[in-house]
Amino acid sequence: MITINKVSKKYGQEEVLNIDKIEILKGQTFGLVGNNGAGKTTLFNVLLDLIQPSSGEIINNDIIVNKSEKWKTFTGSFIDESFLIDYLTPEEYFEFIGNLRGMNKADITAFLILFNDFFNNEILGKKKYLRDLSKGNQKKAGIVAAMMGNPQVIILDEPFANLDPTTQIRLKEIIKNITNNKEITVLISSHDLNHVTEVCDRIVVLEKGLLVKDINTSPETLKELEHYFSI
Amino acid sequence: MFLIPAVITLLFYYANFRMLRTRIYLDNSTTVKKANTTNLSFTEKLGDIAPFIKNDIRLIQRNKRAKTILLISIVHVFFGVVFFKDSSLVNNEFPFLVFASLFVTGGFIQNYGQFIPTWDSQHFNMLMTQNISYRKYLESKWYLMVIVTCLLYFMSIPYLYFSLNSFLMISVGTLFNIGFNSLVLLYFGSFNRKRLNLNNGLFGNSQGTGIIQYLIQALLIVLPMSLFFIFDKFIGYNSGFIVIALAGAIGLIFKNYFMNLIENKYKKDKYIMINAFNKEM
Repeated sequence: MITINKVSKKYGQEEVLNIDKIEILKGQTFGLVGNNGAGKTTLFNVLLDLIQPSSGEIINNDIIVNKSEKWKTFTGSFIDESFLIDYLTPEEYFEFIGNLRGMNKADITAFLILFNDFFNNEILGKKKYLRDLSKGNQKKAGIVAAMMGNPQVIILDEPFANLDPTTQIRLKEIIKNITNNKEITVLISSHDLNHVTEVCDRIVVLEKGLLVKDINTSPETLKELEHYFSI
Repeated sequence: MFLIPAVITLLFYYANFRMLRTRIYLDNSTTVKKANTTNLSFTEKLGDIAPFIKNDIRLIQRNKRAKTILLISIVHVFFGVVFFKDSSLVNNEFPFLVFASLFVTGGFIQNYGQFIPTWDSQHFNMLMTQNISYRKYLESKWYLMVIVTCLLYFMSIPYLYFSLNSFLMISVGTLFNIGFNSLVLLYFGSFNRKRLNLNNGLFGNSQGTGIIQYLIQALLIVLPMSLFFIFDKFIGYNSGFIVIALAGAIGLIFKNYFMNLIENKYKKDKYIMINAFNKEM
């Protein structure tokens, strides 16, 4: 589904990312872990064509992301608050994203009902602008928006950060549900080893821009990761 | 004698103290404003670009700076009265009337247009990854400028009261604003490199402004004026207006061609722009 091919990014002399090859299969739940500055967000930004790689290319479903805009039709993403329009209410924001994703009013309403538990009555019908919501609630809105319009690829940067424990558990269920039939490819990055080992089939560890581990998740994975990071 | 002011002072001091004492807690001072939502379903007739037009209307409704610009644009419409009420100016073919006719409907394009795409700088990353082509995004901005300018043009119909000529001059100015200025501003928008925080006011706030804005403003006045003066001097007063109208018409007719140029420029500068807009000030 996604091929990362010899991608590197340099700022001046400093190389922040250098990945020889990662092949992500369709339906895979792909977890990216690493300490701060490991290059996780940089990699996602290259994947979303927000940063131009110094060399190499990323191919998303046969489309080279910095050559054509066609990947936008099937890729949903939430990286940070710059993916929200802060002067809109959540309803207006979902309407905007839904419209861009070819959904009508009824589709959007039906879609949002699925996330009632996840929203926990804190998002819809509050007559508040997104900028006035708490960080966690902003994140909930952004994550759900990234799933609108049946994307084949969903990219979430640090989705568990800022969420309360109940919402974290619900988010894990949501991710497991959408990846159940191996149709949708999900890429998430996280600092929390527990969460990624729980939801991801495959975990890649980055350090200072380099790939240092590529693991198919097994019961031993958490231990292995904890051991790796406990230096 | 001194007692009365002293007592009054003490009373005020006490009243003030009481009031501040009750408001000392931080959580009371930050009441969250309730969102006012209006139904904008009339925009749906615009098809593909409707979601963007809707957003821009909300932006103008909810952000001081954008709202101020809309108000200034409306003030522009009335400002023309200063020139056009004096029929002797119109009858004597006063050259500076070309400036007035551009000015009447040009407020929105000039003031709003020069901050495209800076208005969206806070959520630019999302726009660049959503299911919309860069071209369509730019088109929606063009339509917004044109629609608002047309509304301002309708507001200028009362100028017929002064003379048919003054209304015709305003029509020429509007054609130039729509056909020429809209594209020029869209093009120069690709030079914008400064993030704009939407929650600040307009006056005394130069956020998002750089040297390029001043150059554009000068250009937008100097260019049509000099074009007009050349024809006015060598051929005649009316020919000057015809040339201005023609420039506008050419922009409209070859809009697609110019939009291609604009789109390529934006695509070329995409990464630089994203990087610049991500920098908090």
